[in-house]
Parts: sequence; structure tokens; C-alpha cells
Amino acid sequence: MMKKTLATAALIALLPLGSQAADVTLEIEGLDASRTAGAALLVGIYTEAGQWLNNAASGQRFALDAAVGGKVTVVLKNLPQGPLALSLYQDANGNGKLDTNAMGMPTEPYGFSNNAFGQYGPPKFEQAVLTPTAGVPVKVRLN
Amino acid sequence: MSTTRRSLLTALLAGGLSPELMALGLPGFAAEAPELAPLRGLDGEGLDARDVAIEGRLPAGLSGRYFRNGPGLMQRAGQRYRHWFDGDGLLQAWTLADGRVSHRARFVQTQKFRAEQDAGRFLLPAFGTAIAAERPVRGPDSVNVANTSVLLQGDSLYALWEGGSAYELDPATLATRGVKVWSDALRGMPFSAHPKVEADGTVWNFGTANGRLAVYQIGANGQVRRHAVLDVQAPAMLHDFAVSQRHLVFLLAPVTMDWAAVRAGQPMVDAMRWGAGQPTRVLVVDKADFSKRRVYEMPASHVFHFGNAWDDGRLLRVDYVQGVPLPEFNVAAEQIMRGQRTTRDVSTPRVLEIDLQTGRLSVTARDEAVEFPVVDPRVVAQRHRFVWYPTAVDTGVRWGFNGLMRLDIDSGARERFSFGHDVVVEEHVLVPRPGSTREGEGWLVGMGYDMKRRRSFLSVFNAMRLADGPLARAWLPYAVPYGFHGRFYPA
Repeated sequence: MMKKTLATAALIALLPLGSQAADVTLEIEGLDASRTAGAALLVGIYTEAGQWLNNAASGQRFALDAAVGGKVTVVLKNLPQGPLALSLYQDANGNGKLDTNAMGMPTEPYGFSNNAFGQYGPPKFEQAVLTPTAGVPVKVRLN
Repeated sequence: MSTTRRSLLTALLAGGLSPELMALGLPGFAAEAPELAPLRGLDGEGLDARDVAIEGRLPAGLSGRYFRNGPGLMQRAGQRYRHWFDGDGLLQAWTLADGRVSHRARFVQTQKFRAEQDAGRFLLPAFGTAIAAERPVRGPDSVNVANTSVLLQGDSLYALWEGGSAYELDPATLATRGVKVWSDALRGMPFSAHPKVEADGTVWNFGTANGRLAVYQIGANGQVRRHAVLDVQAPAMLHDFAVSQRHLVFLLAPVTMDWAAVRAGQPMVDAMRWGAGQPTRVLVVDKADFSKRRVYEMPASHVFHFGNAWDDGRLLRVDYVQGVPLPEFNVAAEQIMRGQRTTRDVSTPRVLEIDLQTGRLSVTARDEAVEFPVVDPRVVAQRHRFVWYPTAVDTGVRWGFNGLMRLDIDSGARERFSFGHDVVVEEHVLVPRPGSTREGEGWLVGMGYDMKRRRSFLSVFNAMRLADGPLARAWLPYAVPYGFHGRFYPA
């Protein structure tokens, strides 16, 4: 509870800056460099904790043909204002979904804003939420 | 002075080691159990020795590469792994050519190893050690330590683990190439450390996760021929299997994983529950049709390793080594990591016969302390007669094996050799003599550690005349952490 209150306070403090950033540069690393041809980076943008990993406010797709050495820089445009959290994955075969193997394990690199991660499960919205600052790129490492 | 310490001193003195030498040399770790000293582990650097000193005579026909794998790094920044199985994989290559012997060892550069080597401390949980993850754990490969066995196919050497992918290495340099992807469908699938290789090069293997059992058939060229995932309520730990002419044979022990305990921070090994009152299921899968399978039941028993299996369509015979129940084994695997001798950890030979028509099972038990069974590579999935094991001959309170045993499973006759008190014997593999055709014609090649000299060695025996003692030993100028499994590839 204490943690949540602190996080909310921090978000409110950052809001004035964030509200001016409509476009955000996203610096991605950790792509599987052997599978970038014809692949895409899919970014889910979430603004509500209640919708986290269920129902994205919007989604953006970027071709990865220009990726070099497992890295790529893209620009997220027309982002909703205010705090948001990102869920990203490398759609290595361009089929529009995060593939899993027969044991149910994801087989395409993925990650979250703030490089958030959970212990034996995805991170919580509060771990991944950030408020973009104009001119400051957001960096995410996929695994 | 404790009784243990006094009896150890007595034992050491009887073995000729002077108290002065003991006072000068023995490090703090395993001070009261010098046979455990190699388990201190290395610091992440490799090892190299050229023109290794040879005692005795290497057989002229013995030429090739002997690869071994095992846990080599046990601690970082003062934190020590709790369980023997946690250690990061150290790949060894012995090269025997023109009467000369060289040795090289390199750590497998897993994702985990590289990250932790850079950080200088552990960052990820291990099988038997609760370490809070400082990096995302996305699946077994996030914590894969590639430390259990090896497989060579063409120019690809694989460092095998149990729960995740094989790691591919350059067999000439032992440089790590990366995670092996057998096919797109098998990306990230568990690939056990005990593939069985038939005489024609066909590779059979399996992997388990979340109660499911994947089985694989791979051609000698590395192409996946068939694979399937079987919903068989696979145990939380399944280490090895056996292959006969017509069947894949699994012993499914009653081991379940308490995931709530894992999420609450317990290491996997402590969260495994042993169902002593439940049976071990014997799963027999038709090699030609994975959907055809039979399940038999036997009393709860824990098995790490199989020798081999054969069947004639009516009778299926499987030989293996039965261990103590998993919880007791784990206590022992943690004791030795602290440099302490184990209280009770004896594994012994078994032969299981299954009458495929009546479903009747019978088990023949022996009482020699053994592990790491091997057979002649020419008889894998064929009728076999001999199994070779490291064994413990009058070792008293000391940990580890000190000898070798050949068992004739048809007659029950055995042949043994003991190195005596000061040597720990590791797995030895059978290398057929070029030009020979009969099972067992060849050499038994493996490693050991001499606790007086504090050096590891390669030993070579006539596989059918173990009692004669080693034909040759190649002495490294250093000790190597004890490994698990290896394979010899003739030149």
C-alpha cells in the first residue's frame, strides 16, 4: 500500500513534463539478431493498471529490417498523454503474435518498460509505468 | 580433537601423508575430507595443459578426443552454491594423438555465466540455491548452466543440461557459439543431458517441463526426424532414460514440484516433494509410434542413470542404478558442497525385466556401491551383456568412488579394480578398439583425482581386464572439479 502511494505521488510530480511528450524515441536492444529480417517490433501501450497486459490502449508496429547487432531505435508517435507502461516483443516470424513452444514457453524476445520483470511471472503495471520526458529516449532490453 | 578428525588423521598417516604436509597444504575447504577438495571449484578461468606426463603406455590404437562436462564454478563474491548440480558448466577436452596427450577446459559461456562473470556475483536463482533474480527469468534457459554432459555431431559440440536447450561449442577451441535451436518448433525446448546414440548415429532424447514429456529423434546429420510432446504427468525431475530396439523406457518417480514454495522463494530442489507411498511408473513408448505407450508400476524408487535396454518384442530388459530417495540424495549433494562427508548416499545396480505380454515386472538387485553406468557404444539399444561403473571398494567413511567394476548382467559375474584410499574415480567410458567387433573389446577411459598429489588424471584400462590395473595414466599439473559425464570420439 505504502509503495503504491509513493508511486502515485512520483507520477503526479512528473505529469507536467510528460504531458508535453507526444512522440517518444524508443531504444531497443536484446533482439535476436538472427531473426530480424521480415520481423517486427510490436509495442503495446497501456495507460490503466486494470487493463495491463489484457487490453492495450494502443499498439504500434515497426519493421526490424534496419536493426543492427540486436539493436534498433524507433519513434513512438501520438502517445496518449500521461503515465504509461509498455509491453514489447520481437515478432520474429511476422505472424502478429508472441509464439510459444510446445511447453508453453515464449520463443520470441520480449520485455517491458523500465526493464521491469516479475519473479515467475510478468511484472506489475506499477513496475513498468513511466512518464515520458521530452527529448529523453526510453530504453528497453528484450530477453 | 574430534573422533572424525582423529580417524581421518590416522587414515592419512596410514596412507603416508605426513602431518607436516597436512599442516602446510590442506586448504580450509574440505580440510577434514580431502577427497572433496576439487569441489571448491574454479574462479571462471579455463585450464590448459600440453604434453601431459604419461605414466605407463597409452595403447597405440587409442586416438581421439574425450569431452567431459561438469559443474566447475561453485562460488562468487563469498556466496556458495548449495547443491552440486548448481555449478556452472566446465567443458573439458582431452586430445590423444600420436602418443601425446593434451587437456583443455573452458566454461560454457551461458547467458547466466556471462552476466555473472561480468558482475562478479550471482544474479540468478540456481536449481538448489535461492538467489533473488536481478535479471528476468524468462524460462529454463535464463538459468541454464549447461553442466551435465556432451554430444558431438559433425563440427558441433553440445554442452547439455537437463531443463533447457543444449549450448553449442566449437569442438576445437571450446569457444561457445550459443544456444542450439534444433528447429523452429523446438526453440527453447528442454533437451536432456542423456541422449542415446545408436550405432547408426540416430540420436534419441527427451525433455520435461510442467509435467509434459517431449521426445526427439534426430538424425546423425543433426536434422530432427520426429518429435512429440506426451502428457504423462512427468515428474519434476527426470534425468535419464533407456532405449531398446523397439522402445523408449522411462522411470517416472513420484516427484512433484510445489510451485507455491518456489514462488515464496524456496529453491527448486527444496520445493520437490517425494511421494514415498506412490509408485514409480514405468513408461514404455513405441519408437515407431509415440502414441503407443504402456505404463507399469513399481514401488517408489529414484533412478538417475541407466546402462542400456534391449527387447525381443516379448521381454524388455533394462539395467539402471537405483539411488536413495531424492530428498536423501539432495541432503548429500549439499553436504559435499560444504566440504562435508555424506551420511547415507549409496546407489546400487538393478536389472528390470518387463514381460510385455503379461505386464509382469521383476527386479534383480545387487549391493555394490556404483554410479555412472556405461555400456559399449556399439550395443546401445541392442542386446548387451556388460556394464561398467565407478565403484566404492572398502572406502570406509570417505566420500566417492575409488575403483571400477565390470558387471556381466547375464551371469552376474563381476570384475573390479581399486585404486585404494587416495583416489576418487569418476565416470569412465568405453572406447572400442579399432577393428574389433566384440562387445567390450576396447578401453575404459575416464578421470580421477589423487588426493595426495592433488592432481587429476586420465586413466586407461583394458575394458575386459580391469583387475590388471590401468594401462596408462596421464597426470594433469592441476586438479579439475569433479565432472559428471563425457563421451569419447575416436580420431
